[in-house]
Amino acid sequence: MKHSELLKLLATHKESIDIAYREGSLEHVSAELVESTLFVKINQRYKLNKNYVNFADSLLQRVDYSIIFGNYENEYKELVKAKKRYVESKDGYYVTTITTLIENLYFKFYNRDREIQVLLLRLQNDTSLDIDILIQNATDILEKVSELIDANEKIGTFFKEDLRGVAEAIDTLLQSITLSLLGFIENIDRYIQALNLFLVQTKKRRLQNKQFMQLSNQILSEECGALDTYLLVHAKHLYYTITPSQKNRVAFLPEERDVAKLSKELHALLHEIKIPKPLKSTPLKLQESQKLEIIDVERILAELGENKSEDIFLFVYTHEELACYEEAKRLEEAFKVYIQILPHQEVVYKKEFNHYGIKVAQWV
Amino acid sequence: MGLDEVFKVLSKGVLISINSQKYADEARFLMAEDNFEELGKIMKKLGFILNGENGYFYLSKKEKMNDAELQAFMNNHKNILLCIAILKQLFPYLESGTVLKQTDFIVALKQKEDALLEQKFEYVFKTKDLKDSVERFFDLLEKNSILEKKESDSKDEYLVLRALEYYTKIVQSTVA
Repeated sequence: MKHSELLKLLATHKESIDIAYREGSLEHVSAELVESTLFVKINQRYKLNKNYVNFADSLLQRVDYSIIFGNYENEYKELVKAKKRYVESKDGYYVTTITTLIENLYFKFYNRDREIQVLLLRLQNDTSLDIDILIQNATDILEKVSELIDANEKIGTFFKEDLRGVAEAIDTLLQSITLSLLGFIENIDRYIQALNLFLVQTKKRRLQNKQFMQLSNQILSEECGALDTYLLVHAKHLYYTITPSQKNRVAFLPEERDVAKLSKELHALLHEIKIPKPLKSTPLKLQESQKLEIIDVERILAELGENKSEDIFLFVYTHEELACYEEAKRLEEAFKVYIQILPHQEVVYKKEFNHYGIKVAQWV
Repeated sequence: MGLDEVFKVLSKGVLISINSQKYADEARFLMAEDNFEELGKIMKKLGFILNGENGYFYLSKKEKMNDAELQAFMNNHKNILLCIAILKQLFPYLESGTVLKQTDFIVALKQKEDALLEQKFEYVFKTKDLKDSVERFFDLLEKNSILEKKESDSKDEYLVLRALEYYTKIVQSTVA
């Protein structure tokens, strides 16, 4: 099969391939997909060839926690062998073999770097796994990445010391990839640091969660003496949730919904209350004082003392101080003066009423 | 934003978190050292201490609390600690800055049938009806500045505020 035919095959069956990639397997697939070895029958179901899955995962930056990084031992052995044969035979065929092996190793470095980056990102954002499992996964990855240090160093040294000067084509290739390769090797240290930091933070979070659970159990079983003591001792510097005290009264801050309810009720209440219009009493008072100024009450009192009247009201009513008033008005004014006189000690009440219906009072 | 406006918020018993959207202006104001010191001096005269640590600000009372106040103070802390323990039990990766959905909370609650979880709810809300307690649970954490509605019109999304660290500190100090 040509590559163009492979691409055509992929395009023709893209839906089946996509479902199998996302869901893991299919019950039925086209015969040509099986013939092309893109699908393999396992346990009565058709699964995508692992090589294709790895290729897709790599391009889509999907990396499983169970990834096996492996080392570069096989490529290293082949390189050593090819170099030896080239030195012995000077056959250009071995130069091609060496450059291919170097390129393969470079791809391995390149992909590994991306895979570790993706794994780190996945670990840092994974909230679906149990914390213990996540910590275990991170520990495993740290171990795998740490193992790469020696392998990277070994290949780096081999490129630098053993392959330089062997052939011009090899030197040119090494020259073009050295910088990137050094970057990948240095990145390993950064990844190890990041993984260690992630592990410390996640372990701290696990511990915090456990501590929260432990303390909540203590609260539920009322065995939280340490918490009580801490709160008592540090009360001065702890969040103050209540308003200042007023003689042992604790006034809690009302909740917003309570405030809204209260406001609504007050609003309704205030609309029900009928507020009377203020009385215009000022002019009346002025009128009264003016008239009292006209009537000389002191004179009436003095004459009462002299005459010892049997009916104070009649005395006032007939007094010349009130002579200027008409009858109805005189009654009103006489009564006002009568009221002013009543508090005096010399006044004695009688049981009867005069013909104006006013209780008879004597001046004795 | 002035001292009076910030005081108005703090005096309501609000823990102002630096990742709060609602009190972003107040937090920014308090993060300026001069403002913090100036307000701190005024608060001292009024009988309060202005505290700023770990990405949150709050007032504490300078004088000793009376018995009733102290009791309420302790009960409130215990209730919030239990509520956070519930959150941590359902969402182990929860931390300040996490966006929590009330619907996810209900789903997680249903999936995790746990007697201790029920006990915690009962302790705080005095009812065994978990469904009835969910809204009160979110209200309580919102009122106590641990959660904040992500958008003012959204009923589902809540932002976990930095003030969570205040309670984490208490837990770390009291549990070995």
